[in-house]
Amino acid sequence: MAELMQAKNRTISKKQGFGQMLAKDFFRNKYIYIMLLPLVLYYIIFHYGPMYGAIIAFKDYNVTRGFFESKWVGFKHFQSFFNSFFFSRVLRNTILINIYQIIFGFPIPIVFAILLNELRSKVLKKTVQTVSYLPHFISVMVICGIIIDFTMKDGLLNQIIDLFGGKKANLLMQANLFRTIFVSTNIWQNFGWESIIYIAALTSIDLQLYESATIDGAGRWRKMLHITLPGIMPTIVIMLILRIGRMMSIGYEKIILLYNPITYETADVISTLVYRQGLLEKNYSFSTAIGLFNSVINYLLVVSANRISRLLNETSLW
Amino acid sequence: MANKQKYSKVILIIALALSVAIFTGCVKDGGNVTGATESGQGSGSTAPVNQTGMPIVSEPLELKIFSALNGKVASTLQSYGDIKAIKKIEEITGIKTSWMHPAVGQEVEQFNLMLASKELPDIIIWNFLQEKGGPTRFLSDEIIIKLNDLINNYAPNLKKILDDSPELHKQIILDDGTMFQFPAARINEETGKWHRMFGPIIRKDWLDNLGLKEPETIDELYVTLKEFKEKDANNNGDPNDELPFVSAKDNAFRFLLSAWGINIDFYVDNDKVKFGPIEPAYKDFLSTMNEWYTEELIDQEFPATDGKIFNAKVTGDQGGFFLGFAGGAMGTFLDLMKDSNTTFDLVALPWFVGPAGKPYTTHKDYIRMMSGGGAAVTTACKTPVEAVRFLDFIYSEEGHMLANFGIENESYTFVNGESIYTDAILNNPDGLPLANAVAMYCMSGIPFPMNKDPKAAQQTSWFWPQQARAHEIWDGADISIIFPEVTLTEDESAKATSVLGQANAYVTEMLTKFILGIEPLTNFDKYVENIEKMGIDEVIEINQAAMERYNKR
Repeated sequence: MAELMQAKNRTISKKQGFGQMLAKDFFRNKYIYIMLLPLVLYYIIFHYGPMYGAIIAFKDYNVTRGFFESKWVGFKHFQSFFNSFFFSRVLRNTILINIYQIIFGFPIPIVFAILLNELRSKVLKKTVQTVSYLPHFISVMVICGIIIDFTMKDGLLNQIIDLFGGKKANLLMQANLFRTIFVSTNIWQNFGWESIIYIAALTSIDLQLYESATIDGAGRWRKMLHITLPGIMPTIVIMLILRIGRMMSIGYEKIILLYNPITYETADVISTLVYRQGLLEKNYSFSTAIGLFNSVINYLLVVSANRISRLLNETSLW
Repeated sequence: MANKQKYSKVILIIALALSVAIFTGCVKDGGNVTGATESGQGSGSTAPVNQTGMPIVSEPLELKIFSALNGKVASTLQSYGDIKAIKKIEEITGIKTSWMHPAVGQEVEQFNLMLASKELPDIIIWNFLQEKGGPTRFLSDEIIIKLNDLINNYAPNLKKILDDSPELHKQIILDDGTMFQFPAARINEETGKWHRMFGPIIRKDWLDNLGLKEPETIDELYVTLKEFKEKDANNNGDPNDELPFVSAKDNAFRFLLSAWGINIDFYVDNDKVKFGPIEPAYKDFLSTMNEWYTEELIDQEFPATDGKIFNAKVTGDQGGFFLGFAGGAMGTFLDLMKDSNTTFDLVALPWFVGPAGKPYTTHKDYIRMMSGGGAAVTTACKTPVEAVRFLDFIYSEEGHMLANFGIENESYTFVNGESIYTDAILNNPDGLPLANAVAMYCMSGIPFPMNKDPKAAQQTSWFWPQQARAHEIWDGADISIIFPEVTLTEDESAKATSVLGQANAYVTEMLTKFILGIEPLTNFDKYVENIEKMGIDEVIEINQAAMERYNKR
């Protein structure tokens, strides 16, 4: 009987429809909705609104003629991107650099956060944390200046190589080292900053769990393995899904500052191609087309990563 | 459980928001475009205009002018309206100016934004020639107006300069004879020549140390560099610390190859347009440079050398030979070294005679018109006659002195009939660098619609006698292979940019690889084939046609 009632209720609430539900929910939680409003407006005005501009990917955009009066050219810009002499190279480099960043860069903030969590001294903990995320705030220009100085023939790294009997050579002039330099300096600059979210997640783990584990005789390693890691697993998974959604994007600034003709082979990525052929040549339609292409791929990646994650461990974005 | 639901709701919202963020790339809002441009030529003019004589107007009139704000001015002043010469010009003409300066570093974006919003000023100072489709597009899109009649009727001073210099005239008009701008001209009335500013430079003291004379051919240069390499040219006891030939990135090579009679871009060979990087002479050039690099005559780290490191190499007593500007390189280095290294001395070398047999150069400083600095009148200008007369005044004798030297007895005086800057500029009481002090008084150092007076440049940028000699030495170069500043139609330039965008990136990459030997020269044919596949032949044809149109102007 009770089951029947419940079933009936479900059908009734289904019939209510989304609009009624929303209205009901709105009156119940109106302050929360009001708080949400600015954010929604922000997205409508600054993100959904300008989206019509994406049509210039299918036009020959001309500033004086504007979005609507420029000529339609169909998939011309997509074709010229796919047929570009550099297409396979920039695609390969973009994906490879991102994969390296995920393999080597993604676990480090997690490990760092867990290690930091194990520290007993509060002062030491705060100091280490602050020091670790300071590099995040240094301008990329300065970072690249440091990298160039360190990798020069007489730079710090070469002095070290020389000390161990290696041969001195400018490291930025070796195509096979570029990705290593790029990825490792990125990790150095950002691991502290990226660990913040994990540190926050760690604080939400119930301390009683640790207490009872201690009573059961678990050591630090066991506690980390069976309490800490599972505790922050949802955060890790969500961060990973979001990270995979940036698979096609790499900022061009750092690469432009570091690459040279010798390392183009391994350093040239989609965004640097867009910078050269889209922005420098003022070919805005071309850059929009590539941006759109990237967004579509990124979107598909997020959706599939999310689906896989939901199937495997029931944590997902939606 | 309830907690988890709440949690996932928040996550959902964040996720939605983020996914939106992923979607929205770099899309710019462009305002509405209704095509409602005012073409009010001469209409709505209220202030009565005087056809000749000064002031131009008897009732107050203000002209809005869009121009990039040059760094030399920005270091002391807020706007061009604060330059003393401009204030004086306002006083004389009776026309006030109000300046729209885009933020430094965002000139192109703000220029485009201005066009998209259709809120045009009266006058735009901009390099229209470098825009896609060139000035023709701006004329047909009704942004700027054709000036032929106005210049004929109201700009006697500019007209006189154009009549005197057919070369300048050819450079500023379009293929169909349309005039659209008041140029930043460089006409020396006495010699009809503007001095060259860029060329090869070598350490004079190193030559003297080794008892060498100044090299004038590629072969002599090779011998000199070899000596630099093997001996202790800088006299510090270490024969191995010299870098005979230094370059910031591949800059030097892009100009040194003119000795082979080619250019890294388009050039002219007996009335035929050619693309240098696919010519056989380019292969010879590369093989010579590869030899020099292998023998370590060329700095081994040049591809990773930016401007800052380049400067450090020269001032660090390592670099012996390089290519640079008389002001930016030679002057800077002599200034920097005058106290710390008293023997440091530079001398300019003539453009080399190489396999091509003539001292060719492809550096474009021969052009009579500075790129940028040209002023066009827009369709929004309600008083085009006044605007044209205002701009023309700057080319008059009085305007010329104001624009180039500033205020008499304040920033310059006449000494034996020669206009000489005063100490307010040459020895600024506030300790301002020369270039910034000049910019407070006049426009001689910035892109501006005027006729640049070489005597002004001489006094400000030729502080060292070596610099004055440099100009003389470089003047002997042969400029016959330089490709003229042609104008392409919108379709032509769309085709050209799409091909050249790729081709130039590929050429740049391969240039360094060939010199370093990473890519063996046996692959040269394959490299040429790749460029041909990109469609270079068609672009050569486009440029050939454009040059023929140019020659008929």
